[in-house]
Amino acid sequence: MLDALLSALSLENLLLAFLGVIGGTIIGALPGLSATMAVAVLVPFTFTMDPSSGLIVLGAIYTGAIYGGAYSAILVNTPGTPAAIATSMDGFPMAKRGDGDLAVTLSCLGSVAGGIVGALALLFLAPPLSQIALSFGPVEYFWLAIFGLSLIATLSRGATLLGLIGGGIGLLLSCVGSAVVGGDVRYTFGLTSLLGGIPVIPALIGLYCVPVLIDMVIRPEAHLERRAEQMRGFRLTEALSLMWRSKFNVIRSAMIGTGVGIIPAAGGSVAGLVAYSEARRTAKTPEQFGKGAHDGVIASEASNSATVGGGFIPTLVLGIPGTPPDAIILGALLVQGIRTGPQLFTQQADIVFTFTFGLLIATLLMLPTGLIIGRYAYRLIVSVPKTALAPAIAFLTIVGSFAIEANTFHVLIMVSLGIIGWLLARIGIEASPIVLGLILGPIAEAGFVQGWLIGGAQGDRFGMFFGQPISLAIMALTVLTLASSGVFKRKTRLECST
Amino acid sequence: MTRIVNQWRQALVAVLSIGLGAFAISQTNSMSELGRVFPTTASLIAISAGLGVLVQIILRPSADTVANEKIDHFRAGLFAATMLVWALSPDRFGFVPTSSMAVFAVAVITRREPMSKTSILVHAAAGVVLVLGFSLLLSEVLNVRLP
Repeated sequence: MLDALLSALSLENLLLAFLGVIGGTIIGALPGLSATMAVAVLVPFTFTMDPSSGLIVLGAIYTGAIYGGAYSAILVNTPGTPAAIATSMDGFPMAKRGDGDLAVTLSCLGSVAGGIVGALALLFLAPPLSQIALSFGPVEYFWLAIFGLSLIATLSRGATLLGLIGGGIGLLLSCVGSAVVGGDVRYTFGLTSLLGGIPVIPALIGLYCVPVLIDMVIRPEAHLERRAEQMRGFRLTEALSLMWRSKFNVIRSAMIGTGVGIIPAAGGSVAGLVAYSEARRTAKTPEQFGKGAHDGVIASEASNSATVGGGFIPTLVLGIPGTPPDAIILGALLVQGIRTGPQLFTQQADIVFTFTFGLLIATLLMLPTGLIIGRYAYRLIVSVPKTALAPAIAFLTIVGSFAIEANTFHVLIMVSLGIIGWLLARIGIEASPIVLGLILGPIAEAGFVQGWLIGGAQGDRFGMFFGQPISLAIMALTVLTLASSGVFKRKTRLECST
Repeated sequence: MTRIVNQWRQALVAVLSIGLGAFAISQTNSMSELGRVFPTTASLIAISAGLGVLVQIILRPSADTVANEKIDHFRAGLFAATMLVWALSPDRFGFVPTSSMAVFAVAVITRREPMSKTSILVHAAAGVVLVLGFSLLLSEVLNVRLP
């Protein structure tokens, strides 16, 4: 292991990790250019490197891209990657009130803490933790998605019914196209372009970014409040103090991120939402969530960065990619002639441990790079006049929604959903419940239909859905979340009436 | 007055939600038994929530959720139209020319002060430079596909 550490600390690997973090952060910060795309775009450059260096670069790009998504989430209310959805919920309100620099620093510290926990889990607990991935069946996915959807009650800020309408719209949007199981063609109205469904990333860009752009255009005031006294430093001391006060939130969120990362296909967006929901449920001041709560930003960033290390556990031990970028990295491993599986940790341990230490180093390098890039990103966004900022962001939304599948129809979907999202926001329906429905709908539906079919074949549908220990644990968490949301609302009403 | 406006908004939300749910359910006839489970559930959520909003308006009329403010509908409409044209045009007129025009249009719509001839030229040139610069960066350096 010491040899692997020394190998990871070589000048060449340090430089590669550094460049990977910078490249990943910049790509992740651009709306629509996801971590998957960052890894996919840069993977060919690693084929000429030796396996451990190539893996370090890919891990560093992935780590940087997941973190980079926080910038646009905080500064323009557009998650740069789906993993940063929950970050925008409190990050943007913080930026609106003039605390964007603090939000960026908090997101950096949270990402580093989460990334370290994920990497340590990969280093020490990979083989036993990978068994968790195998114990997740369709029903567990279904309940996990339902848990995520219960966040609608949290997000609706005293207007649960409007939140439910938004969630219903999102779920209906997720039904468009071929059904995930069975292949029913639904709500396409004869348009072949809709057979693949509503694309998530263009929808995210549209629902989050276009309404901000419209508001930017129609309002005379500046996009973000600029407070002169806050333009001098990183506000690092303040952020560290907040992190220390949120230490249990950091640890819990990082563990959630690692756990969700291990589950194949769940990904950073689910991890962020689950950690955000738990942070709100356990917070002393849950009413601050959605209005710029520090804990919301910390929870989301710590958990989504922890999915990086967590996702590598099933990728390396079982050959099952935990997240989409893991799938690309798995392909790169195969090209390099590395066979994944439990024997990897014994037969090619030097490569695995060098990579894991490289991931840890890349996460640590994210601290200085993230703080510096974040600082300049914040200064840029608050300093550039709206007449330059609005066209530049609009341009990136067009490119970002096209780039994933080179499809101009996706651009049209992005713009249309954005305009609809702005109109819906005018009548009280926010984007977040719609996005939750859109992202979690297919996971819930696939889990439900598969569980229903398997339960039917086994003659015990009730036992299938309500008899599994992991399902019961997730259901208990869902009930707790909904109950705490109800108690909080009653408390708020009582306080308002007295 | 605010309360009445908000009640109208909420009533509109409720009617739209019920209408959308009813329409979505009406489309499920052609689906298989398993394929219609989720759309029906989602529609029922939308319809129930819409009915709930209507009941809330009747029982608790003071539940305001949206603050009223003056909206610059003209600018909002112009911006939305620009974005829609931008989304539809690259295939016909090319990405760089369309985007340069659209970037310039968005800048003009955003600007509140009157523009001099020099200012128009500067904005137009800046639009072309921005689009060309970003396009080169994205397509050549990052290998991102452009329309």
